[in-house]
Amino acid sequence: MSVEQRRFLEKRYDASKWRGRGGQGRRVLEGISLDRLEIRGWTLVRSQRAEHAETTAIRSLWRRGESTSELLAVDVFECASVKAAHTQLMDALGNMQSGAVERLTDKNAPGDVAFGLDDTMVLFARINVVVLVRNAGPTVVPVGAVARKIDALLERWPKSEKSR
Amino acid sequence: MIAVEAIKFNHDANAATHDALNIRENATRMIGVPEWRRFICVNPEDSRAAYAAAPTHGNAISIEVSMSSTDPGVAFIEVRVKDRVKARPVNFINGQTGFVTFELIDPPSGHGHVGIWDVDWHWEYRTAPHHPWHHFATTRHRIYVVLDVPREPWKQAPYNAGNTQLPWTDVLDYACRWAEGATSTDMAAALVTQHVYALGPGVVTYDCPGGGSSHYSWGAFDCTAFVDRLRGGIGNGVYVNCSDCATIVSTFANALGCNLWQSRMGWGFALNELLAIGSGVWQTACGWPAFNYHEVAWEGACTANDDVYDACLQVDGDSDPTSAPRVPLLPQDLRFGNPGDLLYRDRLATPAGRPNCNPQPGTRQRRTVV
Repeated sequence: MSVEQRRFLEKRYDASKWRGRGGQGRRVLEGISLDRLEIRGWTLVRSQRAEHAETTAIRSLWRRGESTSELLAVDVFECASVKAAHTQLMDALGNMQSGAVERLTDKNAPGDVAFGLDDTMVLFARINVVVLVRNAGPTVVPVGAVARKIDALLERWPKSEKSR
Repeated sequence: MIAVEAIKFNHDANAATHDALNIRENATRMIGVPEWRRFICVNPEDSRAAYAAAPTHGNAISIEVSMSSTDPGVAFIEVRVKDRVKARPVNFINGQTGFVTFELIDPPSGHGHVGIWDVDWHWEYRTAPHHPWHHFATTRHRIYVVLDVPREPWKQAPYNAGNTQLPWTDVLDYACRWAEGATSTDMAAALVTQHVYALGPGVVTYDCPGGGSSHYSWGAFDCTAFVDRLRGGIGNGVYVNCSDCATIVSTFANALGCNLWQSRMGWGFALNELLAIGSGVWQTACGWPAFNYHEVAWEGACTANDDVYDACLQVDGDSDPTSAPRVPLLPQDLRFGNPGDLLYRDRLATPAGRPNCNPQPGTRQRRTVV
């Protein structure tokens, strides 16, 4: 992402109020996988794991029922630190065109920091992990409950010995 | 019995001036040389070759062919494909010719336009001049013609299975049909843009539920998933955003020899009403007041003076893009322009938004295909 776009996004999304905060000092999550994730009514179509130097990305697609009209794309990024996760979060925001995406601040919002659009896309960071849940099928479904389910899984995830 | 054993179209991996380009099928499958092999290749799609019109222009195009004979009495014959492959004598040693060079007659690349041709070659031989020709084999091939050597992200070197950026026939299958008949790169890019936009709403549609997020181009271009989507599969789902459209257009057009980039404009600008891909309703994108950014396929240095191709949306093409009536205009080969020019920028952004809708040439890129 260009410096200018990052500067714009930091201002647009008030990054000084959340960047680097929330998960600081807590032990990072490691070895995240979606194998333990069960979302009632949803079936995993495919999951791809890509290991990069600082980030492990899991891109997955879920289907409800037999048809492909209801699809969810769930992307999970395990970052090296809280700071890196918030950079990843900003990168995700940097690939969203809408000027209507807003920070979610209500008590039901998942993660340490979350953004969303209506209830059809949720992006959040929990400690060093970033999760993006969005629709991928033509029949639009709410995603908030799924995002909270994933967040609950992360909250139960065994913490690493490392603290970053 | 005389037989064709194998045919090499891409017999010189270091040149595209007198033979075929270096290509592969997709991210995981290579196209080996010889492209045609006896007993293995049956249908045209089993034997694929791609030619670039510009570098081959005026040059003789050659192939290399290996033949066999089980008849010990046949040592020296003349071989041809009538109207397709020039006749030449070949010599059998221990029943084999080894690879011998043949020159093509009126090859598709000589016509100078984009296309795909499925050809049936009926091979004939004669034992001496003035003797009748005898049919002995039929081979079938799929020939792609692009305008020039594919540009990045596509590469011609290194020519090995590990180079996933060799042009994919999975992409050429669509790009060459979309731009069929194009004789210039501008024309090819425009046709690709029109066909990508026309994929909406059945194949892809603008990502209103996801805030206009990238589903195919976040990082690299997930071309494998997009081709799956084109073929009726799930792909990465139905939604696309501007980055996806810019990446699809530029990657598919560049496979044809165009020279486009993916580049952004921004940051944070109010929109005129438009027709997003897959939508039949004039409104600001999904009803949002503004775009944080927008991305298009862009020529040259990706500045206000360069032309854009935008398959993500149609703008109002009349003399006042800020209000009805609306005249749909798909931006293709349209100068980005400065505020007041009534070019792309003015048609996309409101008068108040235009000062924030600036070319960002520093974001210019060509995403790797995966």
